[in-house]
Amino acid sequence: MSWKLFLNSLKIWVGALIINSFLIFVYATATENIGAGILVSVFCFIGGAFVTAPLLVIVYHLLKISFRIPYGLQAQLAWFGFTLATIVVALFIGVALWTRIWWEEKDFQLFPVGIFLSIIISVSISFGSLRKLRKSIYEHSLA
Amino acid sequence: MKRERAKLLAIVAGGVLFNLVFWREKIALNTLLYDVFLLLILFSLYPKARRSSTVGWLTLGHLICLAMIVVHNSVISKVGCCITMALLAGFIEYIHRSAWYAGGSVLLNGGFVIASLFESFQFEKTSTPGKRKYGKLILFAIIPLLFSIIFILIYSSANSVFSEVVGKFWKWLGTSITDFLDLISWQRFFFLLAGLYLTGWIILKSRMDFFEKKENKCEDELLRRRKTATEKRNDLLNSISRNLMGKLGKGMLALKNMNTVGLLSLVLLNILLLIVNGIDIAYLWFGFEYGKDVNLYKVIHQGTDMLIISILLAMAILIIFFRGNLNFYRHNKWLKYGSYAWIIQNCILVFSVFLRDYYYISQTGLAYKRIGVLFYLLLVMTGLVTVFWKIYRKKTTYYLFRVNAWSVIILLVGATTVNWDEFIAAYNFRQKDKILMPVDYMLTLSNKAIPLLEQNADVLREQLKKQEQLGFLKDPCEACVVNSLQEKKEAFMNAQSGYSWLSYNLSDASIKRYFSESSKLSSK
Repeated sequence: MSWKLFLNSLKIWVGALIINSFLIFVYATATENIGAGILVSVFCFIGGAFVTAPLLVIVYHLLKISFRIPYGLQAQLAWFGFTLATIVVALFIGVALWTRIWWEEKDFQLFPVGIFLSIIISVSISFGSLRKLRKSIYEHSLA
Repeated sequence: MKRERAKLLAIVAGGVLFNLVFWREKIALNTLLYDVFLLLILFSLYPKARRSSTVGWLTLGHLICLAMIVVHNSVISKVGCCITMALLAGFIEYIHRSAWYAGGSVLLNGGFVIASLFESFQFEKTSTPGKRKYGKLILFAIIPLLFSIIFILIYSSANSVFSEVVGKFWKWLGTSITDFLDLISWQRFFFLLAGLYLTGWIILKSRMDFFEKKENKCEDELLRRRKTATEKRNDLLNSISRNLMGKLGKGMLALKNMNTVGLLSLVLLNILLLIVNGIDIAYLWFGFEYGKDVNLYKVIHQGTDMLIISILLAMAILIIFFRGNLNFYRHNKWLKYGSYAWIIQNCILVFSVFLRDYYYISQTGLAYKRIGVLFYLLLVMTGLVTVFWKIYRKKTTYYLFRVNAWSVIILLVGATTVNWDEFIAAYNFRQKDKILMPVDYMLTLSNKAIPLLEQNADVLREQLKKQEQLGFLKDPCEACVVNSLQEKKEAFMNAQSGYSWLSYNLSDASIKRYFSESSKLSSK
């Protein structure tokens, strides 16, 4: 069961990375040029995968908790998506404020919005597989 | 269904109202508008709560805090208003008697706002074929779009005319996106989201009734009952005391042994406290004389801090001894007497701390921390009385915490009714001939004290001179008094120019009136 949970967490994480890279691509292309867009988005995807790998632990545990709260599936997943996005954005802003590297840049102020959207979209896309996972978890607990 | 729709409408309306009344405004009259809206919604969504006397009293306390925001606009009135509002939501939405549990429920409300919101949305869920069709269309479009992007890149590198067309398109897209992003005020957007979240937090009852269930099991009266093996294992205090006592803490005579250990501890602690109290009575109560050789600051600060900790520890010790079956032990008479003596001695200690604070105030005037100590002592006295009552009437620790939480709330509401900055300034100026005024501290008081400080600027300068003569200050900066007041005045007027009628409050209005009158006088 935990293997399925891990796979779903991985799916959400990878999905969020891809969507975020795509959003960065659109923004960088719109403000600079298509070449810069591709370069920045590829860099963000690879760099983001390395930097945010530890977040998988948070995704995994949060998903586990979300299935335990006494709400319907939609509410559980909405809570999961929102809480995950809030935690990740808070971590990002915390690091940015601590290092004081990015915060002055106007483009980077849009970055947390992009991260938030990416996570929410990624969770929404995974809705079907998360529904199946929840069903199997409940059946498993009943058995 | 109607109720759920009403909840959603209320959250949207509350979020918009929050955004309209609080954006770049001070917490003042706008709070009244938003708060009244929340109260109306809460009482109409949860009508049963209207019959509860606890809700009635708490509403009264909350309205007092709310009124004080408009009258004094002090920090404590704002804090009091937030706390009482949160507790009120807890008591209205759940069945609680204790403010601690109600607070816990409200915190859970906050954590699950999104889930509760979506649960309310469920009734609106209509999976029409049209919607499904659009969903499928989006899914079908992803792969063709990706292919198109790749081939656009290839063709634009191979064909210069096509590249120019694509370049123009991207330029147009870029300008449109940047224009759109510039159009949106992200700060305002997030402020709106914060308003929606806050309104949802207050209005929506979460399904997590953890604290409600927990409190349901709590009683005021202590009942004698045998603990199960699991309960004993989970009781941290019980396992610590049993481990400390070794063999004496187990078996048939465990309760008797615990009684003996408790009695011996209380006898020793009473003797120790008797010595401390004896010294305090001789030195502070009757023989205290303030002289230059007495470092009052050291006596007060060090002494008070340690005594505060000792009184809290004393209460904790008594709660530990009388948390369970020792209350029902037939031969606990002397343990109870020891506890009563310990409580009385702690009351004496409270009075000694009060005297220290009183001497400090009479020598150097009022300040926030000195008033804080007085409030703290009042709460400690309530705590000691309730600990006595707990032992005497065999009450539970739940009762103790419940009653004391209410005493804190009453004190908080009471404290909001005073304009402390003005009170401190007025008292210190009234006592100017008897005290060594903390001039630096006086200049840090909030804007509410500006009129008094300005009227008494000469007194502040005289105080600086006096302190220099006595050797407390070297090179006092007399001009700093006027400069500091001028800076305060300018900062206040600058801030006020940015506010609308939504930030209106009586305190600021009276300061503005004072400034306009004084400027008229000076121009004449």
